[in-house]
This record gives sequence, C-alpha cells and structure tokens, in this order.
Amino acid sequence: MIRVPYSVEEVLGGLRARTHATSRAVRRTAPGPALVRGLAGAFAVAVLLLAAPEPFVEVPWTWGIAVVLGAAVGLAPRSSVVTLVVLLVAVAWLTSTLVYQEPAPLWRLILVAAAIYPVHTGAALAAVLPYDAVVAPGVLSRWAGQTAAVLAGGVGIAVGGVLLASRVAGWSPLVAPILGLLAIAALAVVLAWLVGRR
Amino acid sequence: MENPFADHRTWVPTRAMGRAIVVTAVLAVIAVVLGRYDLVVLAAPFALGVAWGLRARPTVLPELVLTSTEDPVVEGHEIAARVVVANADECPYDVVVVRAAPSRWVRLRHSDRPYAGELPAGAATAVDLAGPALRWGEHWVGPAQAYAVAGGGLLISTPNFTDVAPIKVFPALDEFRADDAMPHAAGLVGVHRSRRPGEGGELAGIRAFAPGDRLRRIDWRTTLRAQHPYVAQTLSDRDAEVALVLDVVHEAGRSGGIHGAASALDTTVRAATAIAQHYLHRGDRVSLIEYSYEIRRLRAGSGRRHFHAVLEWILQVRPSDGVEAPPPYLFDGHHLPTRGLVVVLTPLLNEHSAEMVARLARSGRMVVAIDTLDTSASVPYQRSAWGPLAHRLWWMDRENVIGQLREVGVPVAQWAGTGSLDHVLRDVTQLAAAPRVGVR
Repeated sequence: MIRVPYSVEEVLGGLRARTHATSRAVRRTAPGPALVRGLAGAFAVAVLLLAAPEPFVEVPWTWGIAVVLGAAVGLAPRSSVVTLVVLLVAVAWLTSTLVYQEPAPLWRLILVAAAIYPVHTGAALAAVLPYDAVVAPGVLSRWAGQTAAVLAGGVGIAVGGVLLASRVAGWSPLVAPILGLLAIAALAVVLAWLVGRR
Repeated sequence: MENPFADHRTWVPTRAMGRAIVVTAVLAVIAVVLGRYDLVVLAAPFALGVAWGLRARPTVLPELVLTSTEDPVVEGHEIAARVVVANADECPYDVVVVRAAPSRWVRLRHSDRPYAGELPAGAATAVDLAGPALRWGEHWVGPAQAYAVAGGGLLISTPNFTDVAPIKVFPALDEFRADDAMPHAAGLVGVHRSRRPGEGGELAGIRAFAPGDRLRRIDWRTTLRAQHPYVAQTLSDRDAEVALVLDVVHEAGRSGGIHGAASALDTTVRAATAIAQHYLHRGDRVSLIEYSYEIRRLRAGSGRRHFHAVLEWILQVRPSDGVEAPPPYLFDGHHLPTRGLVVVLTPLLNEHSAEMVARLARSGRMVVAIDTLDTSASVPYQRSAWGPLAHRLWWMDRENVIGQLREVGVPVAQWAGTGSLDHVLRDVTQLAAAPRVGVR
C-alpha cells in the first residue's frame, strides 16, 4: 500500500534524504563498477545510433534519446531497461532496413551485432558488482575476453552459415526461417537440459 | 548470525539469463516470420553466450572462513582480520564478491567496501583487513558475506555467511600513581606499613625477649652486648582492600574513541582500570561493583590473575540509561568493605548517586568520589534563549551537591590521571587517623 505524504515538510524531508543518499552513493562509487557501467551505457548509445534509420540520426533529439537510454542502462543494469534497449535496437534495425529501405551491408550488420552484445554482458556484470566494490583487474579482463570470444564465435558462425547457405543454394527466403527454427530448437534443448539438471 | 538463506542454498539464474533467452527467442521468431537472416546474426551471440555459459554449471556455494585477532588488544592498537573464500566447485567463478563489516569502533581500513575478484576452480583467495580498535569494549568483525557469479553472469549463488568474529578490546591504561598511604590496612600481607607491631620488614625497634618471640628474631649483636636476649621488633606489612564503585546509571557526553572526547562511561572505565592496576600491582585487594539497575560485583582479589579478571569484568559494563535511580535495596553497600577504601567513580548527574555516596560515607567507610563528567565538554543548549540560564542553574545545583558531599566527609576530585588522587587520599588518611565518634 502506498502511503501518501500528508505535509510539505514530509515531502521535503524525503527529498533531502533521497538527495543525501544519492550524493553519498556518487561519492562512494568505485572506478571498477563505474567503468563497467560506463562501457555498457556507451555501447548502448553507439548501437542505438548505428541501428537507427539515417533520417532519425540526423535529428538531434534522437541523440538525446540514445544518451538517455544509455545512461539508463548504466545506472540501472538490473532493470528491464536493458532488455527494452536491446529490443529497441532490433526494432530500429528493422525500421531502417524495411521501412526506409536503407542498404544493410555486412559490415554494418557486424558492427550492430558487435555493439549490441556488450550492452547485454556489460549490464550482466554491472548488475552483480556492487557500485562501491573494489574490483580486481582479472574480473574485467576475463569479462572482456569472454565477451570477445562469444561475439567472434557467434557472429562468425552466423555470418559464415548465411554466406555458405547463400553460396550453396543461392539466396532463398527459406534460409532465414530454417536458421531461426534451428536456433529455437537449440534454445529449447538448452532449457530442457537446464530443467532436467535442477 | 544465522544464515537467512540456509534452506535455499543454491544457484539461481540472473536477470541477464532471462534477457538472453527472451532476446534470442524474439529475434528468432521475427527472423522466421519475416525471413530475415540478419536478425539471426544479431541473435547468435546471445544464444551462443547462453550455451557457453551453461556448459559447466556450478553446484557448490563459495566457502567462507572469517578469522580475527584472538588475543585481546588495548584500544588504539591494531586488529587484523582475514576473510578466506574458496571455490570447491569444478566450475570457475567469474566473480566472487566478499564483504565483512566490523563493528562501529573497529576501523579496519577498506572494510567499508566489498571486494570482487575471479576465482578458478579449486582455488582460494584471502582478503586481509587491518586497522585500529578505537574504543574499549566487546567488538566484532563480520559476519562476512560472499556470493559468486558463474556462467558469464548468467548464474548467481545465494549469499553465504559466516559467524561474527568477536574481539575484546581492553581500555587504555591512564597513567595512575597514588603515593600516599592507604587510610586503612586490613589484611596480613601487603606493602603498606602499618602502625602495629608484627611480622614484617620495617624495623620498629629493639626490645627484650619475651615468651612467644621467635628465635630467628633475636638480635644477636645487642644480645651479646647486653648479655640478655633481645629481639628486633618489626612493624607488620598489611594489605588493603580497595572497592571501586562504577556509577553507570547514566551515560553523559559523546565518546570519540581513544583519540576523541571521552564520555563519562569512558572516563569511568579507564580510571577504574588504572586504579585497579595500580593497587593490584602494589599487592592490595581490589573489588568492583557496578551501580546500575543490575548490580554486578567482582569479588576482592589480588595479583595478576585478578587484574585479568578485572579487565574481563570491565568489558561488560554498560550504561543502563534509566530514568529512575536504582532502588536503595539493590545497593545497600553490604558488599563493600567496612575498613577498606571505597572509590566511587560517578558523573554525579542525579541526586540519587550523590545520596548513595553520602550513605556510604555515613556508614563509616572511607569514601572518595571521582567526578567522571568532562566539564570542558559541557556546553549550554544554544538554540533557546533559556538554554544558558538552565545550564547555569544545573551547574550551580551540581556544585551544591559536590559541596554537600564534602560536608559529609567525601572528597570529590576530578579524574586527571597521574597523581590525581594524592591530595584526596592524603585528606582521607588524615581523617582516618584522627579520633572520631562514628555513627554506624
């Protein structure tokens, strides 16, 4: 049940307490978690601008929205904002290529894929690190190495598979659905395996 | 501390795992519906990340051990604590976060921040913390807490806790010295020279041998010269009993630890420790009594072992902070020696404490009151125009109480460490030597 404050003094007191808590949190923020959160936010801004249609990118408020969303990812890595930003990137990408008929060269696709995954892993790491933690350098290097390896493997396999399929059978609209169905099947197998082990 | 997660010790998926599955599923469905291969490229790292992260799933929680300095320390001295966290699993931990908060008066450097590091399978790492204990008392470090993250941030363990590690911090000993003699000596051994003849080391004179004298007391030189047996007469060495009454009904002032201001309780505890150490070192017997709602008492004893008992006892002293004074039947003084020195350490904050001191003095005991209130820290309440006036009235009332105590024969002295009791002990000694009509 939400309690409605009954006086201006109570509201002001609550605001003062919140301000004090925020300023204390800012003062105590350690470099390690701040770096991880900053990287997650920066990748979010970059991928939003990379995926957005060109007419949108030329408008200043698009940059503003991207920065606000990037800041939200950095400040609230445990929230649903990260999921929304990742899905928003997909929507922006589809809008750019379907609605605005912009060309989607392979380098641009790889750049978007390379920028969207660190948003996810950066937020995952930031979510488990307390903002004032002293972080050993090995944590950050391990995180960067894992992200790079998965990214290289995932994008490489996907791009290679698509290129191979198009070379072997020529480009067909059926290739993507087949690959998607394979991905869903693999996902189902993983989930079933997880449920079975628990 | 009991682990609140004891019944649910397990690894749980993080929000990142849910996000990866949702993103992969949504992009795959859209790819199928729209026939877009590019969405598969976007979704592939998410799917591969889940598969890679869950290839080896951890089952064991991080093991945690917290140790700290076992031997008691004196306030101001360094304390060391160590948190060891181990990974007994076959799966490496991407991140393990450890924290151990100490109690308020233990200032372990960097203990206010958690530590995050990686931990390979079968390995252990330690976090060493050190810092000074700022105030006497029973303190602690911990409980330590640790949780681990594995599978590329997809799985997180429930936190593991340790028990707290207790630390005993003894009060710093104020330098104390009382050169004056005790007003009364009671026992048969000790260092105080008595006025009675008896077994001892202090020569009182030479007298003729009498039945009952020990042969080893014969002074052969005088005997040979006088051709009659003479013995050396000595004064007996006596010990004394010192009873320390700690008035902890109220706490006053704000303690700043060993390097800051001293509250009334700090002064009481540090002064009691110093006085006890001084008299125990001289061979006297010392007892302690806590004047509060729950009267506690440490029996009279002497020696080094008793000093350790005094230190342990004094760590349990707590201010009761009640509104009313303890009822008189709780503290009627029957535990106090009738012929010993009674030292009352009191902030004299209420009339009941002064009444207790006066009652002891009227019962014929030799009582010394030590004022433990830090008067320099006493500042008037400035927010009201009436504050300084009220403070002045209170101060005059307190001065009046101290004057009344002096009228009934209780010297009141401010605690000032070395030699601060010499002049009052001299007064009490002279008072004890003088003939008087006692009313018991």
